[in-house]
Amino acid sequence: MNDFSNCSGSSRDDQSAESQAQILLEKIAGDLVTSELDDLPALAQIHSCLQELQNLIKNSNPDVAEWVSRCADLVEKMVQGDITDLKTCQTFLTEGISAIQLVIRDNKNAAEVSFPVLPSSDQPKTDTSAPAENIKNKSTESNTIDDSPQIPASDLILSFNSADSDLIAEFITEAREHCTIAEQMIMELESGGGDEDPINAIFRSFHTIKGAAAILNLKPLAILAHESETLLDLARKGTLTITDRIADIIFEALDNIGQLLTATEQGLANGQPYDASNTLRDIISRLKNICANPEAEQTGESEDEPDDRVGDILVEMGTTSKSEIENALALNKMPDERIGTSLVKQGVVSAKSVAGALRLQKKLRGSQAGSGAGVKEVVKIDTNRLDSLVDTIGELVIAESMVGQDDEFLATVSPRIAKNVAHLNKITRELQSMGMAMRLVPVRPTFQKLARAVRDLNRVTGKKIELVMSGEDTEVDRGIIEKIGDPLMHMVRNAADHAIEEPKERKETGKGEVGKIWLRAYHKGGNIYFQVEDDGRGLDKEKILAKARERGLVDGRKELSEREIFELIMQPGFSTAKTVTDVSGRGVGMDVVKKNIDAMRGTLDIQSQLGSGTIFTIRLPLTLAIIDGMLIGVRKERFIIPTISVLESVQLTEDIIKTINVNKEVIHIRGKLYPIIRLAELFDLPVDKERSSEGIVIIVDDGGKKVGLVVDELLGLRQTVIKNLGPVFADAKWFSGGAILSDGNVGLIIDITGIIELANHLQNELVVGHTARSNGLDSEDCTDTGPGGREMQTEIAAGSSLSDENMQS
Amino acid sequence: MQTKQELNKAIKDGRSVGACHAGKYLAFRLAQEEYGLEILKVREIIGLMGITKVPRTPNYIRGVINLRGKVIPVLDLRQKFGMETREDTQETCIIVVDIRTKDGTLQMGILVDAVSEVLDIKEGEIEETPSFGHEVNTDFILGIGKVKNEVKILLDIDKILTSNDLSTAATVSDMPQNEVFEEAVSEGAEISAI
Repeated sequence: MNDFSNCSGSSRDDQSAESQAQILLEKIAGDLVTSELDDLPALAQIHSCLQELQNLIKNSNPDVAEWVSRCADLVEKMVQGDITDLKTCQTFLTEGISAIQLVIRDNKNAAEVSFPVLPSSDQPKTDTSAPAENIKNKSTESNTIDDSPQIPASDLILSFNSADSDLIAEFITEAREHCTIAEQMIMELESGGGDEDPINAIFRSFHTIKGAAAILNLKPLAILAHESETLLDLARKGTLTITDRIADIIFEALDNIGQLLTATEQGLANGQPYDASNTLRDIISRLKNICANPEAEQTGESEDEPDDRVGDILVEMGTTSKSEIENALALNKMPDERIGTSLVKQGVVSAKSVAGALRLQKKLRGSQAGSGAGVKEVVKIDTNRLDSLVDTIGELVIAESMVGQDDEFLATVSPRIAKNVAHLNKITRELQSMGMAMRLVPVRPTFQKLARAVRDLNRVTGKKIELVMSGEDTEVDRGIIEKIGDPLMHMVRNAADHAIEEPKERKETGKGEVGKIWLRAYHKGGNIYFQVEDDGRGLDKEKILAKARERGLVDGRKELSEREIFELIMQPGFSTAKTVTDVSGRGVGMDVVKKNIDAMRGTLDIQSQLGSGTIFTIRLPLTLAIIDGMLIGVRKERFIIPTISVLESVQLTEDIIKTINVNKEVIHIRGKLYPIIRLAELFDLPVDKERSSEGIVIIVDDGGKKVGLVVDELLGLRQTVIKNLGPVFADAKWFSGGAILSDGNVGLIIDITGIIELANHLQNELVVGHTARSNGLDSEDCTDTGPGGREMQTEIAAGSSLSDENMQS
Repeated sequence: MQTKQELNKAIKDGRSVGACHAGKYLAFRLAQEEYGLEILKVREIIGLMGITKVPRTPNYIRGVINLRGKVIPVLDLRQKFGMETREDTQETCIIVVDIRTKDGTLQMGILVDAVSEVLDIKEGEIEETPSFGHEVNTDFILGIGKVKNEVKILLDIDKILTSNDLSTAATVSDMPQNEVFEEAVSEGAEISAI
């Protein structure tokens, strides 16, 4: 026990054991008072002194020695971090030491002194003991692994306690996040090699899921997460290298967890338990098998304690050697005892060194925990609350501008008020931009999902495809992220599945075996761009055109530009067939993609070179909440036309109006004819004059269809916040929303597609009405004002509806 | 506030219609008639303000207003009930109500001639809706309140939008949107903005 001489500098020979004990005791008492209880070196010091004291008095005063030893045990546990409730321990220690002092210093009889009762919280933390135990079970089973794991079937059934529903809902969100992180990390691991950090991050994710699931009594989740965690722990310790096969199984486990989470969610809603045993048994047994026979052989029982690497640290510190530790482990009879404890007991190393090692370990763990989580502090907020905050900010902005733009205010001369309102304006703008920023999220998680999809496709198809991502940190409106995920997934899948050739074919064309897909996100000129590029086959114009003609999508004689041809693949009818091999699948769902993008007021551009690849570029507005619009006046009403669809505007004059089919009007601008829609008539607004030639025509473009809208005046460009009109107007497709104008009234935003449809619809109706009527009535009656405004006669035979391609004159 | 099921249950339990609907009502006037609206449904009462007409929607939709940054529809109850229209007066006002739909609550303004008072209608003062035969739909009437010799028609505002029987079908715009419109409301479909 000569190791413990480091405590007091005095030599034992000079003083009697008793006085030395007193000195020690004083020192301990002093240390206890002065040192922080999470200060490991100080605790280690106290521990050493206590042990020395115990040694000194164990012959003279065995009872007190026993007390001292109890104190020493407690301090040891504190050092090892088994005790969280340090306050209680401190009380116990202080009382204990004063009791000992009473006996030794004041020579009281030990029987008369009451020694405090040990605090009950000195049991090891449950979550460290439980896995250790389980793993132990496994290692004893390891020789007899079979396909029937010892998990009772009832444990694989998800059942719910409705009382926890809030907690569970929160857990689901959190667990999903962890799954995403884990997935991302596995991908990083696969690309970056055996770095330790990703493994730790994955491990932590599973660990968190496990812990929370266990608390919420979601047993299947806890079991699955636990098994995965065990596997990862082996990887973490370097016993197991993460190969593709292992990565696959981890992915599978993650997928299973995802399914269980979904099932939990459903279960919460309908209260039905969910039997997960069928799916889980398989994956769990596979996980167990890998754990039982990792490639590298398991070295003794050191695997038993997943968190304990004190031994390694001690070896590194040079305090002891590996063999000594293994000896200590072999000698160790108490299975739950920690390596540090047994080393000290067997006298291999000093308690101080162990404490030092433990401190180092704590530091290491601390840094691990810090590194994965990212530096930024994040608060989770209910999205509804966030939305209502952003809404309220919007209201503030409107209210502020109503004050600022008020005529009466503008007429005031007081510079003080002007200054204050300007200040208010500045703050409001800042608040607005902050509000907008809060809606922004990085595209990374979305991209990660795509990477995963490509990886899976690689496995299935045997192709070698590399997904190169850039701009993952680009921040995009949350609403956009939610809607862009599916279209992107579609395009990436299409590219991976159909555009990229088989490795053999690629080699023959001299492209290199590995196909590449580039996925980019970036901001440019107030828009967000997403780009999916591949170096595959490219689109075959001829074949697409032939196919379209065959399907009757294109007039047989019509010549189409390259752009128009590529746009054909986004036609709904184009996708279904597989006959055109070179482009097969390229059209699958492209119409859906287009629709989704249109709904976000975005555009999709296709560039392709036969044989060398295709680039899809999606352009989206920065936010879905704001629209650049042109404010127009029609009679007394004001409307907003999205600037994105406006091509040009011209003064309406008598000589550019042509009438075809009696009453159908078109205008003639620079050799082109555009059908026109008179908004005042279409909207049933009071027509005060006969159809006149006064007004302004705004030529708008709706995906190739060009139409002129006749309005009374242009009131300027406005950036306005779009407000949903709500379910009441769901059927009024000619308006896409409302916007608050500067006078506080609502301006309606015209939906170009909707308005063209409405005009066509009315016209068709009138055609029917007209033919019915004209059978029995004078032709004069035809000029009656019909229900849809002025009657617009058209012969059915003419059949040229407003939505026709603009006609070449 | 009660749903149909609650009501049925209450009736089975032997409680009268009055017992289910007793409570505070906001009384308002429409032409010569007095109506009552459950006070808990009422969010606020605002004076007449700039209403933007939405072209090509049913006549009983007066338009939309900007309620502190929120765009909400305004229902013209006179039109909805097929009464003759008249000029808005100083007393004309909009009652903003929360309407319960399948997908949550919807805020809506209701244009009425005048708001009179808040009434506390007791159990004994409410009578069941009399039957007017099969032709007349009385779904949106909770009951008839009789207070101080006056008759108040107690409205179930949640059903106002979905029952079109009393609406003046003839005045509805020529587009066949009435049915679709009702459907849209009951399904809570949303316009594709934002």
